[in-house]
Amino acid sequence: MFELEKAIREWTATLRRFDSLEDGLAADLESQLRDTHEALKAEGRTAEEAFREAVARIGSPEAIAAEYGKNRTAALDRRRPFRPARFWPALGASYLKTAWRKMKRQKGYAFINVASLAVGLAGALFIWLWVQDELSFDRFHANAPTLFRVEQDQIGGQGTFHVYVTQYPMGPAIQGAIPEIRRSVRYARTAGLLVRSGEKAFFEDSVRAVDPAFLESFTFPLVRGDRTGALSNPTSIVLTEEMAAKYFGSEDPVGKTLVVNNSHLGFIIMLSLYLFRVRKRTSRI
Amino acid sequence: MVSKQLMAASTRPIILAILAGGEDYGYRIIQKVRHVSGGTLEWTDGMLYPVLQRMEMDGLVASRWRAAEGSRPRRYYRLTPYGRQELEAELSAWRSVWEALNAFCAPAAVGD
Repeated sequence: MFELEKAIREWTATLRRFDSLEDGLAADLESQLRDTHEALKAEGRTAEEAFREAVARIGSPEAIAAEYGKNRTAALDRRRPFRPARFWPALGASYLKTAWRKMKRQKGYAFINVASLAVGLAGALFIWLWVQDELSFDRFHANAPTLFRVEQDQIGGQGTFHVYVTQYPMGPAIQGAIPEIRRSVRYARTAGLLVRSGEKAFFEDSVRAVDPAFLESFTFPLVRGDRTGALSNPTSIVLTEEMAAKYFGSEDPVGKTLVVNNSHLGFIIMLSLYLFRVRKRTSRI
Repeated sequence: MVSKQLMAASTRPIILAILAGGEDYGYRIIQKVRHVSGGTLEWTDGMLYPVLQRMEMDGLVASRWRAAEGSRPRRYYRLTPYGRQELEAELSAWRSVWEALNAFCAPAAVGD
């Protein structure tokens, strides 16, 4: 008994043996076979006869496959030969596209990569900001490149401590010993001081004791007064504009007097504490 | 009987001319050729399809699978604008061949 569908299946199976007869092309031929078969049957042939005749009319699959093969070769020949890009940004758009596709396909990996890059960049940025900030200090002094801070390693039973304080005599001592040092100035924190001008009295925390030449090394801009002589007298002081306004208002502060620690309130306790702390602190230069 | 070389040369212009009349599928193209030529142009049916593929590669025709009402899907081919242009070029080329043939043969016929 002849079965048309089975016969067609067997026939298309023989087509698949040929490499160049892809499924879509074989479908063309199958369509042609069915049309011819129907037309022949309509002329009164039996199904089997019509099928054989239609197959014969289509011709040898080998010859057809060879023709398709020529087309394929032509298509390959027509392709531009591979040439690596001479100018690498020419591939930039393509790289972006493939990166985007890959990210869409592998969301987990993309998240890990993007997040870690973001964290890394943020970290690097913060480090950069921190370094910028660290390096920005005291850059405005006229001779900033020749200013150096003396630090020391304190070696003790607890291990070695790197500190930025040195002993009080260190300044004159190293200046005497090392000729390259043109000037040494010492800078010491004092304890908090009670400061008074007439009826106004405040307890000041940010008082610093310095050598007379301090303002020649550290060129803080002066609003009033003379840089070289400002601290030459042991009882002279340098005030910020803010402090001058606090104690003297709009009056000219030059030549005015501030009384330090001269108070009947807790005088003895404050003086003793001051002395105690001054002794302790003056080792810091 | 048309020679193999002439068959090979004429297949593409004939397909272009048929498709200029509208979208059609492979079996019908073969039928039309057979009908118009009265059987003198006898194609091996299966050999049409590689030609159509090559024409599509060359941009002369475009194809799509489509099921007409009440029938199974078939691949329909249609002419592209470039194909139409190519048909005009083929027609003028074939006309000049035909005119040359005529010009040589007609006086001889008169002289007999």
